[in-house]
Amino acid sequence: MKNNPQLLSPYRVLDLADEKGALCGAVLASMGADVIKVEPPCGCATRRKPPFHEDQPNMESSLVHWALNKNKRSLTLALETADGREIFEKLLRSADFLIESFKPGYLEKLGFGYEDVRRIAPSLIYVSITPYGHGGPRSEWEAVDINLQAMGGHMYLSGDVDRAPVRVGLDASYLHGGTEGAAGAMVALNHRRRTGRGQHVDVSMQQCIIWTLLNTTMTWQMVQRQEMRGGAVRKERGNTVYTRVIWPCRDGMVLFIPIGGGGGKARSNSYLRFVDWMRQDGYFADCLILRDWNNKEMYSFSQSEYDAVSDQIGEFLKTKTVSELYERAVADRFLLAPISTVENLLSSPQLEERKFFAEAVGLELGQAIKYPGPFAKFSKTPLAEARRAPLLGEDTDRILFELGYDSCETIDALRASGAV
Amino acid sequence: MEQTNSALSNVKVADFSWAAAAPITTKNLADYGATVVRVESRTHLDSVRITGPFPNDKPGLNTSGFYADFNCSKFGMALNLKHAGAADVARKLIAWSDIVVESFTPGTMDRWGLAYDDIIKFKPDIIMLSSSMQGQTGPYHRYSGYGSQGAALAGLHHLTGWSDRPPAGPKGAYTDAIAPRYSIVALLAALDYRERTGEGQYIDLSQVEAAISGFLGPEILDFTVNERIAQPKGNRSNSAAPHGVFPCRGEDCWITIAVENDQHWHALREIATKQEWSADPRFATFAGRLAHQDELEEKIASWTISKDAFEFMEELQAAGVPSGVVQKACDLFKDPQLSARGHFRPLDHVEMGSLCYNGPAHELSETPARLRWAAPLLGEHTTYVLKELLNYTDKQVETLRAQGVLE
Repeated sequence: MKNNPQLLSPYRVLDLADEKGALCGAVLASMGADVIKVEPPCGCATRRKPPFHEDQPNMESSLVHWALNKNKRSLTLALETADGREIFEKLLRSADFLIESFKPGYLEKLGFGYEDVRRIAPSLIYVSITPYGHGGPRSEWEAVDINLQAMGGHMYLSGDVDRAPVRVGLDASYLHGGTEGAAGAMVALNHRRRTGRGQHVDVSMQQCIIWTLLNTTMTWQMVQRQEMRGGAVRKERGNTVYTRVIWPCRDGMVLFIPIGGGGGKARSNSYLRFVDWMRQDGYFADCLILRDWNNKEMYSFSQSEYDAVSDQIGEFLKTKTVSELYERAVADRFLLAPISTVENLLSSPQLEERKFFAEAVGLELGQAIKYPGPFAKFSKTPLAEARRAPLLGEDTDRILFELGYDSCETIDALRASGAV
Repeated sequence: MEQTNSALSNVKVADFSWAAAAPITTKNLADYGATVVRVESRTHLDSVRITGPFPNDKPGLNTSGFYADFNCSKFGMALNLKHAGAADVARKLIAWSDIVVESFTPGTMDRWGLAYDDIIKFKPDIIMLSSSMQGQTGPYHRYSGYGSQGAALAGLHHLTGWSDRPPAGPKGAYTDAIAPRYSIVALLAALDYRERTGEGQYIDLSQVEAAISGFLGPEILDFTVNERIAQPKGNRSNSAAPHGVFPCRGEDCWITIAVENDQHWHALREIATKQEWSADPRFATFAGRLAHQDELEEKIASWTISKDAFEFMEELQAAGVPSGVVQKACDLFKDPQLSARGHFRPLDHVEMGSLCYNGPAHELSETPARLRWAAPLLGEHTTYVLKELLNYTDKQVETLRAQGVLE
């Protein structure tokens, strides 16, 4: 595997990001870039995030760290010390990308803001991943994920109507921020290849969340309709009625939008095939075909007309298991999906056949641990296997050696001074 | 060295995508200057063209706001791919391009003779991305679906909502918001590789896999390492308390507040000095706040309910408490940060007038994104593309039109 050509093997990345931007470096590392996680001597904040291996918190056991820092190397460096700064400047000259997620102003104070770094390394691509982006009245506001899901407009649209809005159940804004940073970095790389110049990629996580809304902002502008949040039952996609999205079946739940979801021929044909199945099983009723639900009459049916159809479909679905429904959905192309748990993912025949989950390399635990696989399959340059996240400072000596600090005495002195 | 203020002006894309995920990918490339030719068909319309919102709720082929937002800055070409003569035009377009993007149900491009193996015969260094729900291989590869199914399949629905209710799930086609950034990364990294080595390649991107790969890492490991199946937690967190949504004055107005550490707690206490709970020693530590969070949340809610959400947010921020209003669509257009960042960008459309489109969620300092024009009408640039980009003569274009190849 080592000899496979890699998409980004010529490039070095300095990754100063905590969990807010860590996915960016992980994406670049999976494509073969040499990603050096530059951590303060006390360790990056991601190392303190639960859950932990066997629920035992320590600097090496955070599963968030394991997941988001895989395939990276770790160097500890005190950027506030004179020796630390000198080492960092050398690193900057050796690097192609820098990724950071500090509060705007922090690196500027240390003399490593974008403008400073540009003078040291003009071809470097400097990626900042922050809650509100650099510049603007709120760039220094305090925010964690839940605040950003709210400020970006997604949270209002998620949750049951009779309760408070609910957030997407993972740190979505940080993760979107990471992938957005990686996308911006690749755009900037294309520009650099042609001009030799680096630039600042300035990601706003709030804006990333707005991108998850899809048609919400156009709906407001065009028909002044405020989309309403909904859970199992909801009003969205510019619909004028509440539609059911989550349905109980015999042994679990499925997501299914038979009518009123937009989607053109794919949805209308899917619905016709589904009604055929209901007919074969004796669940046909006239209300099912009362309207051309998915085409011309998409916006003109009433709530009670919808509810009659929904009741009929609901009764039918209760007679089927999740797996019966999913198998039939694949064969007949219904727009229906099981509500997967993490356990279901690990036993999915599709992911199994595509060998998506694979054991990480380099683990010393005496335990084989499966990691999620690559974000895409490349025919010439397959993404790297998951190499476990680095121990704190694991690669410090090696990286210093590469930078030309080639005697043990020098490295010991740097360590004694607290620089590394 | 070339002087340019457009990052991707060297990149040419033959865009056979449809629906949301892949068109968003190519829109982002087009906003950074790539020349993107979107190939569509009147006989098999892009589902997003016929999905709202529409002006006055009246569907029209050229007036979907959903379509508009994800297709600006592109050229629009209408080709009847079922016509025997269309494949030749498609091949010429592909021969002109660096990148082919497609998102049909796996197998569709093969039927048109436009599979990767067909293409490399006349364009050996092409970079081709197939974006699909579950990938191009495996027992479920023919599964057809949209991003809301992707979110359910990838495990996002199960994690979103209340433990005592069916899953609420994220809004809409959520994997359509995850896959595009991975697709951009994949395409541009592959382009860099091609520039270094001369080799193109084929990229098989499954929306479900992309979502699991990056977004569910800790949850997957919690299962493979600790055998724990992640469950929905409402708005709560394992590492912060209080961490939730609280009601404010007015109809359906809410604010989020998160106390991640004692410093945040002291900041919150400072503005809640008149509240009895702020001095309650049971809440002085994280462990105490976590153990008594039902009670603490209730007390905070009875304090926040009389507050104006936006004024209160300013007050919380001044004290240093992580907080944010649960903004509605209308609030986003008045958000001073978004306007300072220029997130929404107006474009004029001949049938829809001026509307604000989404700019990218990141800005580049040297080569800022530029939304060049509103989304194309169906087939708006067919003649332009044929003549100006592919060097067809007037006569050839007329013939294709007469034959019904063009729509």
